[in-house]
Amino acid sequence: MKHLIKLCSVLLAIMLVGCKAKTRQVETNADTVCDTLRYAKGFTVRTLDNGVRLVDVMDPQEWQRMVGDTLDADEDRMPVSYHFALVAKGDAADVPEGYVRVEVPVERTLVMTMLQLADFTALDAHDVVKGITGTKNLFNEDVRQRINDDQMVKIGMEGNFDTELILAAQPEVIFISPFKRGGYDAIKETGVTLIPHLGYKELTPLGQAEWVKFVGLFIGKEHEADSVFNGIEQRYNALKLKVDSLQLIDRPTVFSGEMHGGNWYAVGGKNTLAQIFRDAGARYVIDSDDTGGVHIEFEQMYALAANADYWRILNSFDGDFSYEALKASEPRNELFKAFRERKVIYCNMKQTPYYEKSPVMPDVVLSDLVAVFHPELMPADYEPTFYTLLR
Amino acid sequence: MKRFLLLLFLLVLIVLLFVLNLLLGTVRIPVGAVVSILVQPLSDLFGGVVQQQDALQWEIWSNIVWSSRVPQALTALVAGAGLAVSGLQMQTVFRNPLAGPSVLGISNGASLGVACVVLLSGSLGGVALSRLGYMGDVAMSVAAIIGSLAVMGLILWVASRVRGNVTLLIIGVMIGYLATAIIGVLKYFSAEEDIKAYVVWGLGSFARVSGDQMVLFVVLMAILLPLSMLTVKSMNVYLLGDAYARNLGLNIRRARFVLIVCSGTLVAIVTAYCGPIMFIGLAVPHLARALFRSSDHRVLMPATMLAGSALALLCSLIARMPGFEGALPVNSVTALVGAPVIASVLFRRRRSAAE
Repeated sequence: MKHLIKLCSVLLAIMLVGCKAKTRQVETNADTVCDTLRYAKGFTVRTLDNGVRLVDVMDPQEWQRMVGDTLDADEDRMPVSYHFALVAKGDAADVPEGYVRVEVPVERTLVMTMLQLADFTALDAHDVVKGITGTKNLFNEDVRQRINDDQMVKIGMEGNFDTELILAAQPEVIFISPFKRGGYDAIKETGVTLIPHLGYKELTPLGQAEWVKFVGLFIGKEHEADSVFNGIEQRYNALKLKVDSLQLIDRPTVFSGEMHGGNWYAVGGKNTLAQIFRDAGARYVIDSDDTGGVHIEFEQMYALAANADYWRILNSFDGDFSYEALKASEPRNELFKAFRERKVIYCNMKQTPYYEKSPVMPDVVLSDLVAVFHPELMPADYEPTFYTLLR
Repeated sequence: MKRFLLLLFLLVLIVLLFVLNLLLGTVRIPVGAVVSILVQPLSDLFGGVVQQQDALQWEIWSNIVWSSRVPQALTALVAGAGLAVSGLQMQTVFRNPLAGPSVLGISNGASLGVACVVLLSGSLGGVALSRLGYMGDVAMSVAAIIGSLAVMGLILWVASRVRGNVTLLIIGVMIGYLATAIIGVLKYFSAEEDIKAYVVWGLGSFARVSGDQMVLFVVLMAILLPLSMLTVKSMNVYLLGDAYARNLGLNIRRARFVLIVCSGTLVAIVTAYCGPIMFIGLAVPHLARALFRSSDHRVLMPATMLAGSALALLCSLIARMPGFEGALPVNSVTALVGAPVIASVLFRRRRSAAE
C-alpha cells in the first residue's frame, strides 16, 4: 500500500511537470537565447507565437535568496520586477498586459555605467550609444573620439542628469542601474523607456558577462552576443577545469581591499570577486553571505587576513604603485604576511581600463589570477592584462 | 573637597574606560592575553619570559592590541579632552552657551580643506583620491590643518578689526556657511566614489590614526592641553563682562586673541586626525558645569578636560562593541550616547535648582 502511494505520487508529480511544460510550450516557442542562458539570473527571455519577445528583468540577488541554487525554480515565485516586450520595428503585434512595448532593434540609447558600456564594446556597437555619464578614467579611444565628434554626449552623473542633453540625444531607451543614486524621475517624465541593466548584481563572473546577451537582444545583435559569450564561457570553464584537476586540498588564501578612514571596505563572501578567487583555486578569507561591500574594522580584518597568502588591491594611483606607497598610506599595512612576503596582486585603474573591460573578460581576469595562484597552469610567457604581482 | 572627589572619580573612570577600550573589540581576545601582551615590553626589559602557547595567534593578537587598540584609545583620550577644552573656551569668549568649536567655522575650514583635496583633485588633476593609497590619509590631515588655520587667520584678522563679540560670532558663522557652500558646489561636480571618501572622512573616527601619525598627534596634544590651562585666569576675568574685565586690567583684545588661537589650534589638530567630531565640544562644558556646579575655570578647565576624555572613550568603546560588523561612525555615537546623558544631568540640576 505504501509503495502504491509512493508510486502514485511520483506519477502525479511527473504528470504535473509534464502539464506545466506543455502549457508553456503552447504559450512560447523555444528560443535560442533563452535556451542558452546558463549563468545570468537577472533576466529571462521567452518568445511568443506572434514573434514578440518577452524579457523579464529581476534582481539576481533577490532571486538567489528565494530559490537557492536550484535552477529549475518555479517561475511564478520569481520576484519579477520589470517586464519588456520586444517587438520588431513596424510590427503591430499585441503585447501581453503588464509588459512595456519596446521596438527593436534599438538604434539610439544612453548607458549609465562602465559595465553597460563594456557590453556595447564587446558587441562592437558604440554607434548605438548616444551618451554616457562621464569620461573620467575612460580609456576607450573609440568612445573618446565619438565624444569629440559630438556623436556621443556626456549627460552628467547619476543623481543630477542634464535632462536637456538627454532629450537632445533622442534615445529610444536608456539602460540604467536602478539601485544606485537615482535621479531617474526627471528622465521618466520625458517618456523614454528605462531598462534596468542589473549585471553588476550577478553573483558569478560568468553571470555578469552573460548580460551581453541582454544588450544584444535590444540592439539586434543577439547572435554576436551569443558567440561572444560562448567564447568567454569556453575559455573560463576550460581554465577552471584545469584548476579543478589540481584537486587542491590546501588552497592559498587571499583577501582584498584597503583601509580607508578607519574602516576596511571589503566585499562579502558571496560576491563575484569571491567566486572568481574560488574558481582560480584560492580561498577568500571572508566567508560571509554578504554579496556587496561590508565595512570591517581594522582589527577584525587583521585577525582574518594576517596570515593570508595573497592580497588583492585595485586602486587609482598616479605613477607606479609600490610597497612603499602601500605602507605610507597606512603604516599597519606592513603587518600582513602578504605584504611582508611581497604577495600583493595589484591592478592600477589609472593604467588599466579595469571597469571598462573586465565585465566582459572574466576569463582574462581568471587567467591573471591563476597565473598568480598556480603559475604552473599557465604558459611561462603569460602576459597578464589586469592583475600582476606587485614587485 | 567634594569637587576634588569628583575629579578623582572622573580620573578613575577614565582609567577604567581606557582599560576597557584595550580589552574589548570586535575580535575576542582573552583578558589574560591582553594583559600579558601589554606587559610584554616591560618583561622583555627585565629579561622575563612571558609564556606563549601559539606563536602565530599571539603575534596577531599582539599586533591588534598594539597597532589598533592602543592608538585608538590614546586618540580618543586626547581628542575628547582637546575638543571639550576648545568648546569651553569658545563658550567663555562669546558668553554663549551654544558656542562650540565649530562656531567660528574653523572645523568647516578643515572640511573645506579636505573637500578640496578629495573632490577637487579628482576633477582637476584627474586623480581620484578615493582610491588613492599613497599618502591619502596624510594628505587629508595636512589639508584639514591648512583649511582650519586659514579660517582661523581670517577670524583673527576680523577680530582685530571688530569690537563686538556678537559681530565676530556672526561673521564666524557666515564663514562656516561659506565653506559649506563651496563644499556643496565641489560635491555637486564630483564623482560618486570621491564623495563617498569625503563622507567617510566627515563621519569622524578615532581609528584612522596609527603609527608615527598617532605619536605625533598625542605629543602635540600633550603639549597643547597643559598650555591651554594657562588661559584659565583670563577666562575667569572674561566672565565678568568687558567693562569689569577691562577695569581689572585685562587686555580684552589680547585675551580674546589668545583664547581663539588656543581653541582654534586644538580643533584644527583634532579635526585633522579624527575628522570633524561634533557634539563633544559643545556639550561637555555643560556637563562639567552641571556636575561641578561651578563657573570657576580653575575647576571647570580640568573637569571639562577629564569629562571630554571620558565621554570620548565611552563612545569609542560603544562604537566598537563586539557584535557590530564594522565600527560605527563616532559622530553618531557621541550624540546618541552623549545627548541623553547630558540632557538628563542638566534637567536634574534645573529641577533641583527650582525646588
